[in-house]
Amino acid sequence: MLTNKNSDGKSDWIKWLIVFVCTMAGTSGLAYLLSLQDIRVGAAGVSIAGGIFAVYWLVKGLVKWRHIGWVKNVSVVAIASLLACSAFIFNLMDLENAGKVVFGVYAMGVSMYVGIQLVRWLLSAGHPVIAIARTLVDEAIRMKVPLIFIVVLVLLVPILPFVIDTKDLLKYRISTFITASMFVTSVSLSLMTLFLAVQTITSEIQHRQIYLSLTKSVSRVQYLLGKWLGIVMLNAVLIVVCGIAIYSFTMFLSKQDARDLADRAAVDQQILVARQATHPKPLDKMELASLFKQRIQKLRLQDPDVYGQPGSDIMDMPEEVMARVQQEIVEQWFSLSSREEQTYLFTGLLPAKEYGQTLQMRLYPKALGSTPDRMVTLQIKIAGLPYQFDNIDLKYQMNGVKLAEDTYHVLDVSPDMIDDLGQMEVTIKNPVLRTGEQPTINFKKGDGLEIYYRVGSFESNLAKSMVMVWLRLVFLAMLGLAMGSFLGFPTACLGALLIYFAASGSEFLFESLDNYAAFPKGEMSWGAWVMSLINIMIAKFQSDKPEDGVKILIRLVGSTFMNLIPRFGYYSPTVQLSEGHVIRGKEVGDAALWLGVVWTFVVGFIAYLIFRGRELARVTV
Amino acid sequence: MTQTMTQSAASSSVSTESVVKCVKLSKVFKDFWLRNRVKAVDQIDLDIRRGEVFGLLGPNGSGKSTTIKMILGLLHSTSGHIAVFGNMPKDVETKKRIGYLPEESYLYRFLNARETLDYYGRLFHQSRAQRKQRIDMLLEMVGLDRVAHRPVGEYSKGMQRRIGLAQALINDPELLILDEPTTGLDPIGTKQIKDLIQQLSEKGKTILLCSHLLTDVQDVCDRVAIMYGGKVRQSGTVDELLIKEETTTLKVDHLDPAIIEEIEQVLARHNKCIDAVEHPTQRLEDLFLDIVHKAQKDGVATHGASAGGDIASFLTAEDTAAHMPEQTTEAVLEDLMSDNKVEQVEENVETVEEVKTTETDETIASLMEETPAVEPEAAKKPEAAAPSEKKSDGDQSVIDDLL
Repeated sequence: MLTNKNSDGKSDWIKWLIVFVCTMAGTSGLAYLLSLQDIRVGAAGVSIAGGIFAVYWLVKGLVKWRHIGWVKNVSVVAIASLLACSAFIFNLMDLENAGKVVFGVYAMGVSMYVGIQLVRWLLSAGHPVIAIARTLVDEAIRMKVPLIFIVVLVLLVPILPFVIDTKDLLKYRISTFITASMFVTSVSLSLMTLFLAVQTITSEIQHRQIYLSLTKSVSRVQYLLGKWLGIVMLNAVLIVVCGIAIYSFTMFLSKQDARDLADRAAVDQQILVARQATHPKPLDKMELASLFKQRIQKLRLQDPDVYGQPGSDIMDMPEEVMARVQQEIVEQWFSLSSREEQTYLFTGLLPAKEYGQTLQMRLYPKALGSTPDRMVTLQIKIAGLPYQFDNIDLKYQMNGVKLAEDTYHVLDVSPDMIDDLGQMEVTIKNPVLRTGEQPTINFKKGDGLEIYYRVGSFESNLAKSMVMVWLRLVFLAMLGLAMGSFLGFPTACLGALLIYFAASGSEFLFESLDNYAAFPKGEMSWGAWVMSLINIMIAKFQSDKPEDGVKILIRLVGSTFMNLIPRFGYYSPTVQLSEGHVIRGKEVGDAALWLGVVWTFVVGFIAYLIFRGRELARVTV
Repeated sequence: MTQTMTQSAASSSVSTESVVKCVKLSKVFKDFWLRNRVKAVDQIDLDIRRGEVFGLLGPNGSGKSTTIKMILGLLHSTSGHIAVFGNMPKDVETKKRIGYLPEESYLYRFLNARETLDYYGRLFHQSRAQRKQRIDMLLEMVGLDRVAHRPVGEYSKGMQRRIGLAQALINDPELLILDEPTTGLDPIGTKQIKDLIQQLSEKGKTILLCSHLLTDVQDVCDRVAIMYGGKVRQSGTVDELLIKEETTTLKVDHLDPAIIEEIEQVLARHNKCIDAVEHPTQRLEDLFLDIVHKAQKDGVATHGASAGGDIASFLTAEDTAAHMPEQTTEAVLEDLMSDNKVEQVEENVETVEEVKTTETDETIASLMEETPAVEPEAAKKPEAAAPSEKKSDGDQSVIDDLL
């Protein structure tokens, strides 16, 4: 078993084993005999002395043969387990949380270690790509830079549950933990991936290890693929362990005392679930179409030169005008003027009816005028029956319920309100108050009025989230390698980080660019758009404010750059997970297609083109 | 003499098939603005044939490393043509047949010796069993089997050279490119490398050796090319380049002054004179090897590399389980440590055999009997003292007169 070929080493090992077995057998036997004689003190003394010697002998053996693969692995786990025993000491000192943190760090650390060993074993085949991947994994766990990120991750995730304010509602604590732990996991692993990918290739070129690898039977594309595969496999292990840790600590938190029943229900029905959102439709399908026609007719009557003659084909209208009119109609449909009542139909709720769990209706009311204390009053009926708030006396609900403006409100709805067709009618009225009429009230566009119902479990949602995070890392690994294939370490890191942060904040950056300088908008061809842009720039440079022209140029460069990188915002599952919104298979599929395949392939292909033609040797002449 | 015979044997196994062929090969390094900065290699022609040990010599900056890196595909040629086994240097299949030891240790510092060899073995698609067998043999061969678990980063420079050599041999290459292979090695390691080169050459491997240590090159190379300023200034076999036709050295046992005077008189009749009469000294390398070998026999402990073992059997293309090479490194050391007189006498006998005079044998024997045993002068440079047949024939009349 011990691979030392030296015969002395083999006999050493046998001697060691004989002493160990004899010690264990002698101690057990003697202690048993003494206990039979009812000499308990003697038996205890023999057990302790024998035990101490056995531990000493074991440690001695582990130290002596530490260079042998499995002995080394067992030693690491044994030492970690020994350290984890300090958790019990913390418990004895009434520092239970510290004990749990220590245990969490131990569990995560050992899991990662075992997982990485498993990956190393999986990557032990005799193929160049796999060999390079395996060496990359070895490099990751034996070099400082990647190890720092792994250690940070192992320390932070178990600590997070215990630093959240326990005075908060349990649902917020869980939601905060999920958000924070997903953020820590995603950012730590992203940075580790980028630094590792850049370092592995730039360092090998700088220290010339690449000379030996690429003068063997390895093509350059295989070299890049091997590096990428190693990082991807390493990340897979880390993601799995982090996912299990996040799940375990989430379950640990969910077992904590909730403030009240509503808090407990919110945890069970809003956070630790995967809920599907559904948006309302008009009761009459033709209602909006009819409104649309009426609005078009009205516009044509007002200005036939622009909108066409009344009665002409509706398709003759410019697309831009039609889109604007449609938007106005939808906004109007979501608005309730004083005394107005609107019925919204939610469909496709049969799965929710089958689950039998409470649904959540989410509202985001906004008044188009001043209201007392920024509160609006609404009368709500569901399936024709007035909605009753549990925490408000019924007599105060007769004329509606006051809700804060510009805030999301969640109303629990019984699944019994769903009819057999899987539909549910929600009627909302803007009532007249004793103090007078309220201004028009509308609901935030997009998610201002929706119903959530359970379609899956938290576990599946978490698994999909971790897969999406991993897919981002798949892309980042290739990005780091691509940057490292033609730049030095500092420059490549800066470039890769720039792209990573831009991709992560893509939504915000696009919005910022929109506000920074005006671009030509509307439906037009590429040629027309370019001409329009040139005209605007010329006009700006010739005006009193030529700096506006510079702003447009900056926006042009910024927009071009932003359009050349993926938008991580599209593939960010954290908010959905922490709010219990389902992450659909399509979203995971899109992430897999675009991040895992298309972007990774494009960046990898560019890296290959650069790397293929690069002279790797540097000769001083 | 032994040396000369080995070279002759190796030379006889050299075929005319080109393993590496460079035609009008040039390399110009450019600066950031793509302006020509340095012409490192200037239209060189090289033809390295199967089975030969080819030495590439030259001072720093002469273009040796650039040439090697172009042969390995790490640099692109600016103009000219390179063929390695008839293919482009970048060809992955061709690289399966090449082993490369760079001028410094470019190994992963975080891997240990076994992991290092395992990694390079897997780059050649080797199976687990094949890797294990070869790694065990190579580690034993380079004397690192007992420190195989230590990270390479902790190795001394010499140990790193040894593991570097092992990785170059992991694929049993047909073409072995050695860039300064003896740098950082102690004399034992240097001797082992030279022995290894000779043994591999005998087995038909082609070796391209690049070294500053001219004696190393002279000891093992069949042909050499001397580069300077990016051009090949001279090339040919070692004998062709080194032979001094105008001088003859005789190696005999100790001579009394009277005999020397007698010889001078004989030479004077042919209008020749003795330029110098010297007593040879033992080579420092031999002395060093002797001391270390004795220490190893006494079992003195060392934390570094051990003496090294036999050449890995897979490199000899023989049955790996049954056969090990006949002439092991240990055996070579044994030979070296033994009394030089025996070898010298054998050399003398062979030298005399070459001139084919039976009378000579008797005369030398009588001279030996007359004189006390003192180390002969000619032993100082045994390889130089071994004249070629052609040269012996040329001086036949002088020797006849002398004797």
